[in-house]
Amino acid sequence: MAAVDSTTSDLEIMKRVASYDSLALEALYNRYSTILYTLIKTIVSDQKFAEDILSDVFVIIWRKINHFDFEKGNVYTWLITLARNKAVDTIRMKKSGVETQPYSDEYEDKFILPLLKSNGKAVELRDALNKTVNMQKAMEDLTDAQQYVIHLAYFEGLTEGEIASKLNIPVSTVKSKIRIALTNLKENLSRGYSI
Amino acid sequence: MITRQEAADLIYANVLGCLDRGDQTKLTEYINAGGELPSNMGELQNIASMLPVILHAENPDSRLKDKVARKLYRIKDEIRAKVNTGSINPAEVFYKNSRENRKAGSTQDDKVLTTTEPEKIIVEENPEAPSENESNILPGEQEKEAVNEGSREDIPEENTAKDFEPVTPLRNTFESFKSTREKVLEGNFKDGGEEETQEETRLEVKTPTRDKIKPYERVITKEKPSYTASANKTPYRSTSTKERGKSFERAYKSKYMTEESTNKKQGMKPWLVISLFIILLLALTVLYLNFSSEIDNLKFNNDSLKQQVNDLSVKFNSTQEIQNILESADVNVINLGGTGINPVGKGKLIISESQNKGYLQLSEMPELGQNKAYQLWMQLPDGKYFSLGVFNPSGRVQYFPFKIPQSEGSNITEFLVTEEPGEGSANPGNKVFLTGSLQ
Repeated sequence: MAAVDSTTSDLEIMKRVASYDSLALEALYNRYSTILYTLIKTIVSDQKFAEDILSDVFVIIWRKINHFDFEKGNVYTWLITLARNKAVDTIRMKKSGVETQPYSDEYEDKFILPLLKSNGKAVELRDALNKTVNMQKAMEDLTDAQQYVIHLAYFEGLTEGEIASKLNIPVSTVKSKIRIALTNLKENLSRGYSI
Repeated sequence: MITRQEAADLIYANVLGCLDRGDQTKLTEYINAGGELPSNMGELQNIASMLPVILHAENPDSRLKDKVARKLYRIKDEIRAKVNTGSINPAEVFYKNSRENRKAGSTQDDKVLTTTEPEKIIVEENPEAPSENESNILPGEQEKEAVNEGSREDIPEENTAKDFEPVTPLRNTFESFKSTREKVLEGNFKDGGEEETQEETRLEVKTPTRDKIKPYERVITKEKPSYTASANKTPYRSTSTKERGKSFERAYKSKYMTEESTNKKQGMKPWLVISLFIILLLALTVLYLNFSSEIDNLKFNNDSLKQQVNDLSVKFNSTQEIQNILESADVNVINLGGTGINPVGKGKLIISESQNKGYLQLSEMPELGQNKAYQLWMQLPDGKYFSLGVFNPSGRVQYFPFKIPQSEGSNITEFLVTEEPGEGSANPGNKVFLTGSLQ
């Protein structure tokens, strides 16, 4: 089996993880743990919590690798979305104080595993990191309100209803703001590159 | 089932992950049922997943990888079952990872992944270490065992438990990215490559409940992170973006998040608040008492000093006056002598007729009762007495000033000091303490 090195693509690593190659999983960890941990820690704001979630994410990857769509091969988006879903689910459970729905395989498949069903272009970590500056610029070009709505939704894990309560505005307004913010972000990004 | 339009409305919130469970379920059912989705959903999902790159990157604790490995070890049976039922054949992978490569030393992968200074790790105890009777043969071994039972003798018994190695110890692999951005990150994610050295370390895993089982050992390599604690964070985001982010957070938090800050305050435990308040109150009381006592002392000292200053000032003024009188050309000094009432008493008058004033000095005079005072008299040629003043010697001030009527200066013949009521008398009484006359 070929070695995992700097030229090995994310997709190739995922394929090897799918064959339960432990070194491939380690390579995936080495490659992605920083950005996943950064994201999770931002959402949960606690180091130990974030570490637990990150380790859970890699267990999910190991157990549910067959849910990844190798035909589309969008490794970066799948992993980021998986980590975010897990982190947000954890803090929502913690906030509510009760387990409204038992955490099961079915629950995990339904609410934690990413639902990437459309025609997005496959993105790898190196692509994402190369576009950091564009992303910063695109975010900066949004209004403060749009940035804040994205922040509340994506990084604080609030639902539309919770955002509406927090900002004291109707849910319909929140929906509208989210749609406009994402649309504008996409337009801002398209000025420099396309994803 | 929701309609296409409703699904399209949910897509944006779904992309940002802010749908509640109800809407999420509806959308998932719609998608799983093959419902049509907007063409830009994939692109929006990619855009949303790009958001984390603007965060300040932070590396997880280096020990986290071991924790992940332990978690993966716990699900070994599940994975083994998947491998047995699946089309893939991971036996060679595990065999290579866990046995052959390690026996032969570092693998090609190791060469790629190993980083700078290796670090020895000794795991004191591993409660999850498989026992002899436990079914601890992992997929790779299982496969090998199934294929060639006779080859078991090639595998030392003590290695049975170590074959599963979901991940090998720490190695950072960000060296794979050679973009400009990653050169910036190189300090954190550097994979030493050719410059790195390896060192064999031994990992001992002891089974605490089974003393007879010899701890098994395995040879591993482990990197030492090349970054320092202070360099642990690498800015993904420019300063301007960070400031901007803070700015919009501040702006909105000040506008919308009053309730949140109130809730945080309400979150403090009442007993803690009360305890802190009591401690604060006690501390303030002690401080107040200390300061109050200190202030009283300072006030007393201040009053004493003021009194001393006053006394000195009076004394100085008297001395000055006496000096002026003594320097005048017509100064007269009259000695007063004691009488039968107080033979040891003495007095002295210093008079200047030109200045029409004088000083009385008293000594060895007895203390008078309450509401009594000494009164100085001068006798005129016609036998009448004229009061020059009432005095109360305190023992400190020895000189008492008095004034002489201008018209009588040269007519004075005799002086008396008598005991009189405190407010003085119109005529001298019977108790004469001192007498004296001009020569």
